[in-house]
Amino acid sequence: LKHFLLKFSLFFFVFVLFIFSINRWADHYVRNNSFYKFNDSVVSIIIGHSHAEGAYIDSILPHTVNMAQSGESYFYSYLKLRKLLEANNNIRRVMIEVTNNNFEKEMDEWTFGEMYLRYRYQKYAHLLHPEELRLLFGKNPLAVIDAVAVTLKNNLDYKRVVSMPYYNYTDWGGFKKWEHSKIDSFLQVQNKQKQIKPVVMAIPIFKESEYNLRFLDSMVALCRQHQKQILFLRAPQHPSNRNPFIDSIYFKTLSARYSAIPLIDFGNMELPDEEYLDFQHVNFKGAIKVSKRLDSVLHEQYPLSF
Amino acid sequence: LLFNSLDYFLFLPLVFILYWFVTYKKLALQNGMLLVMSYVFYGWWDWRFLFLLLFSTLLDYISGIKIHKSENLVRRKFWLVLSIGINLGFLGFFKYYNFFAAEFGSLLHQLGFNVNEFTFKIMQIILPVGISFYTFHGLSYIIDIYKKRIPAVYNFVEYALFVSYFPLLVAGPIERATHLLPQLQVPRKFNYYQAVTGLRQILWGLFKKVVIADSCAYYANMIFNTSGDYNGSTLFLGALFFTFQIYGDFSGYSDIALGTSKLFGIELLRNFAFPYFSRDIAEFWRRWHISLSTWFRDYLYIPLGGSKGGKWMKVRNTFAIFLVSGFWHGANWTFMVWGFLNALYFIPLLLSNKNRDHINIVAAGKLLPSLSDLRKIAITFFLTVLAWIFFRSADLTQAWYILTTIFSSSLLQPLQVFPKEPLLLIMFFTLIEWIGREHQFAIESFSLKCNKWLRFCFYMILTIMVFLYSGKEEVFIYFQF
Repeated sequence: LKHFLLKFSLFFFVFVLFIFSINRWADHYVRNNSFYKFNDSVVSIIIGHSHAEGAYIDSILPHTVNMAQSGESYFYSYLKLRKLLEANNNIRRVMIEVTNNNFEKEMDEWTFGEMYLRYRYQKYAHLLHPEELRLLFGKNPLAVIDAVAVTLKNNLDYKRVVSMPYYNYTDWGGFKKWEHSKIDSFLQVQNKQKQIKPVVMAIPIFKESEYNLRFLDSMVALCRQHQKQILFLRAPQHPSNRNPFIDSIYFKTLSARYSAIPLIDFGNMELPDEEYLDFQHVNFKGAIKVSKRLDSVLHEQYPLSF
Repeated sequence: LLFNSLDYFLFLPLVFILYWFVTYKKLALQNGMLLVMSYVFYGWWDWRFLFLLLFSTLLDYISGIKIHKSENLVRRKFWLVLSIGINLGFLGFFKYYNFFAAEFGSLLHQLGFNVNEFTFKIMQIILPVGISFYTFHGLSYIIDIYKKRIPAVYNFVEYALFVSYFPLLVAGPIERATHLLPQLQVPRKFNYYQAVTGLRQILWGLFKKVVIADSCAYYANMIFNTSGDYNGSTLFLGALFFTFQIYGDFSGYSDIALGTSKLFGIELLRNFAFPYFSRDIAEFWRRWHISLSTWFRDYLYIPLGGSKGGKWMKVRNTFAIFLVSGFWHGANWTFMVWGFLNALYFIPLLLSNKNRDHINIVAAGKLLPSLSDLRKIAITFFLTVLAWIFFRSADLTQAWYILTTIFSSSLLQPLQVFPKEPLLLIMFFTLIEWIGREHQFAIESFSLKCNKWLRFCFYMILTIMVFLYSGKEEVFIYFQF
C-alpha cells in the first residue's frame, strides 16, 4: 500500500509540476505576444460592464476608446486597466462606469462564480499577480483549476500560436451596438404580471460587494499613481429600473469613499422607451444621445489640454 | 457527484484513506463507511432521493428474508410480487408516467373522447438518478432468492452496500448478488497490481469521457440540434460523432466505476468489450452494455422460453428483449424504434443459427484483421451508426428526416463541418482500442508490453490530455436512464 501511494504521489507530483511549468511558460508567451497598444491619439478610455459597453460610442467621443465589456466585475477591469496604462503612456483620462449594481453583492459572483471566472480567466490569466491568483483560488479553487485547464488548452492551440497576436485589446472590450428595443414587450409582461398579482412593494435588501469596492479602490489608486484624470460615469436607467432606496445607498457610498472624484451622472436622463434596449441598457439610438451629451460635458467641464 | 468532476477527485482519495487506513481492521466498519460514503455520493446530487433509495433497499431486504424463510409458495410469491410491483411502480412513475399520460390522452382524444388538460395531468417529475440501475440490482436479488439460487442476506449493511455501492450506483454496471455480495462479505486485502490496474482503468475511462466523448458531443449536439441546416454527408458525420460520444461516455463511465472499485479490492462485472470491433450485431450485443444484456437474458429472455421454442417463439422473445431494452433507456418512441431496429438486425442471425458465430475477439493474436473480418466490422458498425440516429434524435420525425437525408444525393455533397481535432482524436482512440482489444480495457496491455519509462510517459500524456480537455465537465449520458 505504501509503495502504491508513493508511486502515485510521485506521478501526481510530476504531473502538477509539468502543468505548473507549462502554464507559467504559456502565460509568459501570451503576455509577450499580445497587443495592448492604442493609437497614439487615444487619451481617454472607458472601463465598465454592459451599461457602459452599450452607452458610449467611442467614434463620437474624440480620442477615446470604450473598453467596457459585458459581465465584467472590477477585479478583471483592474487587471485590464493596469495593463493598458502600462502599455499606453498617452492615456490621460480614465472614465470608470460606476452604476448602481457595481456596489451590490452580485458582483462577487461576477468575480468568483464558476461561469464568470472560467470566461474571464482566459482573457486575463497572463496578467495575474500571485496575490490575485491566490485570491481567486482561495474563493473558488475548483473553478480556478477548471479555468487553468481551459486557458492552457486555448493558449496551446496551434492556430493561436501561429496567428499572432494572442490577444488584441479589442478582445477586452469595445462599444457594443444594440439596435433593437425590448422595452415594449418587457412593459407588457410587467403589466400582465401586475394584473394577475398586484405587486407589493417590499423593502429592498442591499448587500454590499466588498471585493468590487476593493478593486474600484485599486483602480482609483492606480490612476492616481499614474497621475491620470479619473471620472465616474453612470449610464441611463429606464424609469422602471430606478429605485430610490438603492440610489440612496449608491450616493451615500460614493460620497463616503469617492467624494473627490467627479460623477457624470446620466442615470436619470430622460430618453424615450425606443431608445432603451431593456430596463438597464440604452440601445444605439440612446447611445448616440448619451455619447453626444458626454462629449459636451467633457468638453465644457473636464477639458484636457493638448 | 460526477466521476469527471474535481469534487470526485477529492472524494475518492478521502474514501480510499478511510477504507485502507482507518476502517480496515473491521469488515463491518469498512462496509459501514463505504455505505455512508455511497449515500453521501448519491445525496450530493439531491439528498431527498436518498429516502427513495433507502425505501427500495429496505423493501428488497425484508422481501428477500421473507421469501428465503418461507416454504409456503403463496407467501413467497406474495413477497416477490410485492417487491417487484413496488420497485417497478416507482420506476414506472418516475420514468414513464408522463409518457403514458400523454400517449393515453392523445389516443383517447383521437378516438373521440373528451379529454381535457386535467384528465391526464403532465407533472414536473424529476427522474432520480440511477433509479433504473438500482431497481434492477434489487430485482435480480429478489428473483434469485425466489428461484433459490442464493440465500437472503441478513446483514442489512451488506445488502444496502450491494445496492448502493457508489462506483456502480448511478450508471451501473448492473451487478448480480451472486457476484458482488460474496466480495462484500469477506475482508478485502490490498493488492498492488489490482490497485494499479484500477488507476489505469480510471485514467482510460476519463480519457474516453473527457477527451473523446465530450469532444464528439460538441459536434454531435451541434449537428443534431440543427439537423435541418445540414446535408446528408454532414448528418452522417454527426451520427458518427454521436456513435463515438455514446461509447466514450458510457464505456468511460464503466471503466471509471470498475477502476474505482478495484482500488477497494472489489471486482465489478465488465460492461464493455470493444463493441465497435464486432463482426455482427449478435457479437455487438455481447460486447455492449454487457451487464444489462445479460440481465435481460437471464430475467426476461430465458423465462420467456429463450431460443428453445420454435422459430416464432425465438422471434417473439427477441423482439421482447430488444423492445424492453429500448424502453428501459427512456420514455420515448425513439428508444423503442432503436430497440426494434436492433431486433431486426438480430433476427436473421438467430434464425440462421449464426448468432454465435463470433464469440472470440476479432483477429486474436494478429496485428490486422482479415479483409473478410474488416468488411463485417464495417457493415456492423454502419448498421450501429444508423440505429444510434434514432437513439439520439429528439423524435421520430427528426430521425426519419436525418435518415432520408443521409440516403439521398446530398450524401455526396461536401461536408459542411469538418472538425479535424475530434477526428484525429477518434483515430488515435480507435488505434489504441484496437491494439488493446484482447484485454479488459485498451491500455491494460501497455503495462505488459512496454518498459516503465515509456509507460510513465504514455500515462502522463493521457493525464495531461484529460486535464486540458476537462475544462467543462459534462454530465454522463447514461445518468438520465
